Amino acid sequence: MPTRKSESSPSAPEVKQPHTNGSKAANAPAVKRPQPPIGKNPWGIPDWRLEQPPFHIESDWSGEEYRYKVVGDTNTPVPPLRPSKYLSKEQTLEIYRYMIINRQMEAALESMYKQSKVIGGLYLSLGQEATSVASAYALDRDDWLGPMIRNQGSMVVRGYEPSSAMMQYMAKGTSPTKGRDSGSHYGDPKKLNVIAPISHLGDSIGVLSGVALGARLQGREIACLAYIGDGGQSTGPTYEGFNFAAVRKLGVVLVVEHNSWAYSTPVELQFACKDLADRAIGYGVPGVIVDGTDANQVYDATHEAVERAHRGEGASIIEAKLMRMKGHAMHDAAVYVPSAVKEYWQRRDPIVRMEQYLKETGWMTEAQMKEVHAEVQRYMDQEREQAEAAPMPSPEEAGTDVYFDNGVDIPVKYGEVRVKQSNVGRKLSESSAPGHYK
Amino acid sequence: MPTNVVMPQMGESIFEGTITKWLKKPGDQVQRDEPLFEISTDKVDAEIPAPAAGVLTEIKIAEGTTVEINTVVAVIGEAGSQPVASSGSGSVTVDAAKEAKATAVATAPEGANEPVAAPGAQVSSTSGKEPSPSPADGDPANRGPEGAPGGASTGGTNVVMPQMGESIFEGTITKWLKKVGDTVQRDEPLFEISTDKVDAEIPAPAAGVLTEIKVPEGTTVEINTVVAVIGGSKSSAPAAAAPKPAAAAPSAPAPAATATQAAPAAAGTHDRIRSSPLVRRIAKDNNLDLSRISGTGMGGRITKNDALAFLAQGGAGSAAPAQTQSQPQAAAPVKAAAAAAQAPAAATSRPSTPAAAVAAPLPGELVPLSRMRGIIAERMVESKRTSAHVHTVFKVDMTRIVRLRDREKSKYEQRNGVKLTFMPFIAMAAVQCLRRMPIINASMEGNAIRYHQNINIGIAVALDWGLIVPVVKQAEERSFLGVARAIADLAARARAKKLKPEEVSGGTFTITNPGIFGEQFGTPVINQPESAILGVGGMFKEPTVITDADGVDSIAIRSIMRLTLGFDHRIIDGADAGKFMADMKKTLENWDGDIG
Amino acid sequence: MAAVTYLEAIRQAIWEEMERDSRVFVLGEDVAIYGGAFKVTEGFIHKFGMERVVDTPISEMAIASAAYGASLTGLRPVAEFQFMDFISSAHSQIVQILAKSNWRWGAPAPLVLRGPSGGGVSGGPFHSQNPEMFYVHTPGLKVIAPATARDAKGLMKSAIRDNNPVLFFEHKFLYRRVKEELPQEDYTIEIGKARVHREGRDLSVITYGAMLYTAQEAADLLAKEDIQLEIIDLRTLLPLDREAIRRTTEKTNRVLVLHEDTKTGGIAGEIAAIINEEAFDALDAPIARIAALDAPVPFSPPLEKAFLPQVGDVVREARRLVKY
Ligand SMILES: Cc1ncc(C[n+]2csc(CCOP(=O)(O)OP(=O)(O)O)c2C)c(N)n1
Ligand SMILES: [Mg+2]
Repeated sequence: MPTRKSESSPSAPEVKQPHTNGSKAANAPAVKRPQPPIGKNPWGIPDWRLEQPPFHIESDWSGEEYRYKVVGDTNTPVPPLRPSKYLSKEQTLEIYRYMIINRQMEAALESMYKQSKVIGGLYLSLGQEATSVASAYALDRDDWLGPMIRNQGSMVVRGYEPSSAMMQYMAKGTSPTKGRDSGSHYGDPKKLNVIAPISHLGDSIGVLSGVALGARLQGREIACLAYIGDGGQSTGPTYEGFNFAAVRKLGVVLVVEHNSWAYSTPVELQFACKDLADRAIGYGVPGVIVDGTDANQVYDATHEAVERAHRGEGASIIEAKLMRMKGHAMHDAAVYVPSAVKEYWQRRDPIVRMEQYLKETGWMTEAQMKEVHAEVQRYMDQEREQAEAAPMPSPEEAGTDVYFDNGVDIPVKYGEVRVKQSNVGRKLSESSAPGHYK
Repeated sequence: MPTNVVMPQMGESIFEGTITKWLKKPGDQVQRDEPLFEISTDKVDAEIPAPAAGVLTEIKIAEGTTVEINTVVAVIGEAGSQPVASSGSGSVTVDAAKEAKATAVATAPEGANEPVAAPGAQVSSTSGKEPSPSPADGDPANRGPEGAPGGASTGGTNVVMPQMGESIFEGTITKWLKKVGDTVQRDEPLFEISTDKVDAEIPAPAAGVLTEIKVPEGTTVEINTVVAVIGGSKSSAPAAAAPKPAAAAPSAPAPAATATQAAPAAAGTHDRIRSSPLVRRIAKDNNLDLSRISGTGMGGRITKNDALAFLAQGGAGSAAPAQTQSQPQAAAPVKAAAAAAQAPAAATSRPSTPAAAVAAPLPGELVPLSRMRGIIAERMVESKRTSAHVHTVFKVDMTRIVRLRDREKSKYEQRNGVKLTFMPFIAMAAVQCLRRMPIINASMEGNAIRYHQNINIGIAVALDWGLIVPVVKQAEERSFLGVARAIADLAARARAKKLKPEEVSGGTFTITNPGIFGEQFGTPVINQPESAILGVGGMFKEPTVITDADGVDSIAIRSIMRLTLGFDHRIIDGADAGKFMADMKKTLENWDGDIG
Repeated sequence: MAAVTYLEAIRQAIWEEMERDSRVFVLGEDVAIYGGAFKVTEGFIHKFGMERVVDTPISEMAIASAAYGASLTGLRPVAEFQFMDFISSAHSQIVQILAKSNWRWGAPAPLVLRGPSGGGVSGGPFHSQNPEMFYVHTPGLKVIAPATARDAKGLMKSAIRDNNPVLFFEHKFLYRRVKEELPQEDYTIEIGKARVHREGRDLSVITYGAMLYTAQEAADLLAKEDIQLEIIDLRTLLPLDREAIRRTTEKTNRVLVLHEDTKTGGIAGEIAAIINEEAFDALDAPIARIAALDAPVPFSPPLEKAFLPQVGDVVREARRLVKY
């Protein structure tokens, strides 16, 4: 069996450290703004949104074509962002820039896909940038992230350059997985604390429970941010993995990205409850509903959940309501989505809403915002050039690194194992304890 | 430094391509990325740009020829190079190519063997003084998945039909948003497509002037088909819509010449010798002729032990066992097995002189076992190992039968054409007694006993070269004469080697008659899978006490014969054997059967 | 020193490793207060405390994922499946996440998934299975199935010290049935190395797990007929000890592979293929396989007996091969 090790096993190439702003940025206090009141859903789950889409989708199998139809009003006005309780101006601007990076990176990927440079499928997150970016932004350096396919923005916040994603999608030999795994399936256990997702939906959640358990044995309470879709949350592993965290009060923060569609299946055909945050009651953890196109709400809710995790109080669920603005992948034009629904959400573009907020707060002028776009564009061109120029993997890499070398020590992540051992030394159980220690 | 031009791989599953057109001729100047030739493959037709600037010095593959990918099709020399005349085997100049397409074909396999990574090797002899590095554009690693020629960044970028979904293999161009001559920006919408899954606007892959639209609106093409070119000089010869069918499709090269020459000389006439991979290896390593070894394995298979025994007795061909030490690897099993044979407990110790242990046979001629001998040896040992042999001997007074025979034998032979011997008497008695005692006519099968429906009596026949047991089938249905005839016939044909295979199998009980040599009695070995065998001892005149009807004893001279029953105690107990033999004795002593 | 059961050997191995290395901890269903369904971790909670002896919800998926997650932080979890039959509920985690982890993203996963497997105890179709081959077919894992107390302890220690995910298939039939004296000192047994259990001349029986004892009984019987069996205990199924397989084939020239797992897709096929690749011309007879019927494990004793390979099967097949 090959324990051959190639030069370096796949993990993040040299990347910058995850930012250390977020929850620890006490030096730049948030600007206090009046908070609109917080509502509750029928089950008592706090709902931070400033609007609730006054429509829903129904299956319409009556006409000539099967289709989904909208019931209700899609023309309601767009509310402003909820002011953040925690974000400073600098942090807000950083989140804004990350959202633009997220979007431009995916625009570049889309072009590259159409030029046959991308290998395999391409999954985009247009309209979901606020959720990816602002939630990941709430994590500390020692916390962990368990992304899903559409969380390229979270990966960038965590410290990956866009070229990493591009090289992944182009299957380059210098991609984080050296061309071994596809698209968003990359991660780094050493520096960036990002779990490499697998395709199987929900399978990372239990892993993050384990990471939190491992950290606890090393005397640390950390937050582990997991994402799951409105579709993916239907799997058993989602329940099994998260229940473990709930029972053991491990700091798993589950962000349910309720983007209204799972491939072609609307939420109405995915689950019977109205809000997925209701599940928090069943798990016995706090749950909250936020507007997923409002970066402030997403940040604040995640920040509170992360703080809770750091205090050792356990897991939380955040349901972010938003919309997947493109098809499931590039081959899918999402014609099954009624156009009125698309238009409703187009008016709630998270970046446009953020720009409105920046204007209202006076934190940025339109010209400054244009400059951010242009600066990111230049950065993205460089990243793209670099990714395109990167070599494909050499064939020998296919079978190396299947096993990790036993000669290499695997360090413990948080220093040392520190258990309280409160009950150690209590009397041994009555029945036959092993002879050699009795 | 000359640069080789190779047939590109236009798609993962593509392994060959046809050159449909050369756009340059030897002696022409070419720019890097300038269209050089056109190809057609199963997936896509494409214009292939030159990998380097210089002078086209040589065209190796003519139009209309199909070659494997990575075959060198042309050579570009440095500026100022002269076109070469036919140089190196199989190379053709463009003139030659026009007439001799078949010759070009012949070069294909040669070029195909040459990986692109070592292009220097294919450089023609006049110009190839030093190996040239692999041209960047020829490096497959720089390509997209389907080999889209996206590597060319300046002076002509091909625009291809994208793959919009894993299962999608074609798309329709619904609209061109630019026309030839327009300047486009990178990522600026260039055309619209429609596929089975999605409709999309496709952005330009590079900035530049749209120099050529190859696929008009409304046309459906496979993915990765080049639909337009941005930048570069306009091709003077617009690509024909359809690739030219490989017109004079040259017949496949005929490597038959070499294929026929090596008819296996060994395909001889001798029978297949059953052995094993190991035995064949031992034979090879020790130069043994397997046909000289008789096998003791199932169906006469030569086993390892047969081969080793043969070797041990000096039966090797030219190589003595000691010599095999020069091939330690090959000799290992021989040694190991030999070692195991002498010292089973120390099987792991490396025997240093195995030959000495086995190589001192007593003087004498060594004659290999005949096939029959081998089978007999195997069967006998197997029987001894299988059955729990027990023997019981009964004395039978045959006087009555002897008298009957003496009286009848000449008439009998005249009447029936068969000698009247003692065997049919014994066989007929056995048939009757077996009927009354079915356990003697049974076999053990796994955890069960099979009581045979028929009584098939095997008769052991001694031959000069061994022993064989033909079988009188369904003896219970035969008359005395029928049995007598059958025995005589089988024995005669056994000696004439005329028995059929089915006549020597299927027995349920065997009678062997070594008594003719004067023995008292023997202890015969059961013929598996039967459970009993009757041994017939010699006939002797013996003083015998006889008791008359009144109970008066007297001594008389009687013809006495000893019968032995060898039986398998696994299923036959001594009492049953005794009962059977007592019955036999009674039947024979009081013979009253019709002899026909 | 008293003889120690197979189960106790496993318990000692984990215990001693937890004493030696604070990174080692156990988790599983009912492993803490109760000490595990088979009492492998009995007393652990008192010695090591509840932080290192973790009772989990009934979710094999969660157990496997949590063990993996903890291993990502540098710990060395030893996770128990109450019965190895339930490993199927964690299949996705094991083959998709754990096995591919180092290869995909350079994240080594030093952990052990262990539990009782195997039949012969009328456990029925869900408490008697030998699911090892699903995992032998999964590159990135190591798969161990010891047959003796000594091997169980030494291999468990190696498994815990290994930097890769190791699946440890204990045999519940052997838990309290086999006993032997163990070395006093700390010892390990190398993963990936088979053991010559009995030297022989005429035929090699390659086996593992509880079938070792079936082979041994057959060998005793056949010895009376002067048929000497060599018995190879594989001990590790992934990576297979190709060298040991080749060596014994070269020695006896006849091979019978015996296993309790069902026949089709069992490891015997793989071993036959290895011999074919590496020692074809050492064969003096065809390679034979004796394995369980291609059926689920039945519950009723006569059915289970018919399902599992028996001593008589080995004797009969050995005789045939030796004669061949
Ligand atoms: C266990 C499993 N089953 C099926 C799939 C195929 N699949 C990939 S994404 C997807 C839809 C997911 O929808 P959702 O969870 O809502 O995420 P979204 O795409 O909306 O972000 C499906 C069915 C999968 N990846 N995993
Ligand atoms: Mg969704």
